[in-house]
Amino acid sequence: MTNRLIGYYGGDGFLYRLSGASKLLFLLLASIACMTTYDTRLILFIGILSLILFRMAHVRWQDISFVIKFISFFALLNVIVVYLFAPAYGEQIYGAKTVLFEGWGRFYLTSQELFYLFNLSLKYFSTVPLALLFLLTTHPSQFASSLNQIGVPYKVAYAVSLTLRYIPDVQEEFYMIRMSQEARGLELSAKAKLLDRIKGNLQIVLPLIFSSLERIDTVSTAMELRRFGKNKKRTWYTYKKFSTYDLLAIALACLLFTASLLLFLLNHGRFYNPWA
Amino acid sequence: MTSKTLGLVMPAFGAALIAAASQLTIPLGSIPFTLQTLAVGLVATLFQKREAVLSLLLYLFLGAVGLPVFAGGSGGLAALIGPAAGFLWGFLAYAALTSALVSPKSSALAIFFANLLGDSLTFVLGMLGLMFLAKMSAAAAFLSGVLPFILPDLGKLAIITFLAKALSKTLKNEGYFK
Repeated sequence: MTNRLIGYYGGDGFLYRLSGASKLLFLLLASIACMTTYDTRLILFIGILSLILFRMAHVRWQDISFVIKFISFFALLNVIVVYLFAPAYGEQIYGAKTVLFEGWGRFYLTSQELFYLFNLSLKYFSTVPLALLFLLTTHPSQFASSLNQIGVPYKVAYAVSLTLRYIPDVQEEFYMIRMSQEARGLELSAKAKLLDRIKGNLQIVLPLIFSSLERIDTVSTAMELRRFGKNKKRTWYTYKKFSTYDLLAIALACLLFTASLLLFLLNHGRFYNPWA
Repeated sequence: MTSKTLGLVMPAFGAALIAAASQLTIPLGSIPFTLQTLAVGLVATLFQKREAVLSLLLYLFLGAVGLPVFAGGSGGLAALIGPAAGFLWGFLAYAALTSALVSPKSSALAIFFANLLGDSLTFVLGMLGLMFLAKMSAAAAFLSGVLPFILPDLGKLAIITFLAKALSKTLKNEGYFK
């Protein structure tokens, strides 16, 4: 039983052959561009681009549907909370007030607020696919070498790699300990009383931490025995040299980032205002 | 045994623990109760300052590049500059402050108050995040981002204190935790 939300799925195709470093740079630059701008045109472009890339990667819906639903729920929650606490924010931004629905008290709905919330939602649905793509098409082992390739010190990059390997181990350990405890009579399901459940779950934390500390000791000793960290540089088994396509991907990412800056100037701010 | 390699492996484990805990949800009636704050508090209390801060930085970085390690399986740069970003950065401040105040010989009361200060700092930064990034008023930010979480978090702090005391007793034999 592994609680695997998402992970690498091997495959062929353009995106799998790109270096992890270029994909990471693209992800970061495109995400920053998408997050800082409220120009609907740029957000839409990035969104459509990410959907096209998704098709190219032949990602199966069942592999990602759980995560998509979860993130959609949180995005929806975000939009609702923003509206509830700032129903007039759209007016302030766009300098116009077109009431669509009178509502009650301060909770009326305007075209401007709706447009703002639309932009907010669009950001999620433009950047989330890019992040998922990066995760699904990049082998975890390549992740660390990619970081080193873009300038992160290799020890730090390796710590990232270690964390990625530890996460499923911690999850696996948690479920194993829980099942062992339940096999010995501990009731953790909805049948037990609240306090008993809290107490029971806490009894899982202690052995979890001890087994993890044991693993830490083992891993760090093994790394030292293999002379990790003795030199200023290292080679990577999973290294991928930049190809022409990698350079093109990075160039496209820089273009998107530059576009968001130019639109900032053009719009006299972050917002594209159709009512101006 | 303390070494440079341990100083690297420890934060990796800390980040993994927080990431795994953030995805775990224990159903308490109809309210999902994630262990994210609990894991952050434990890391802040048990680790020394450098390792605690590095753990949180590593965790935030993994989330930033899109790994679904934040609460509810979310991730991405959006989370780090979105409405709830203040809380995530607040966890970093929590780890720094609490690990600076706590030592392996601290009393249970000292541990509890150190975590209380750290958690309060998280809420302050969370409120600031809601005010500036989600354009809420101070009152609205308090009502939506702080008030509903006060009691659950006090419970988590008590649990952290209990676990930390229990763990530090048995960890005295480990060189790092002396």
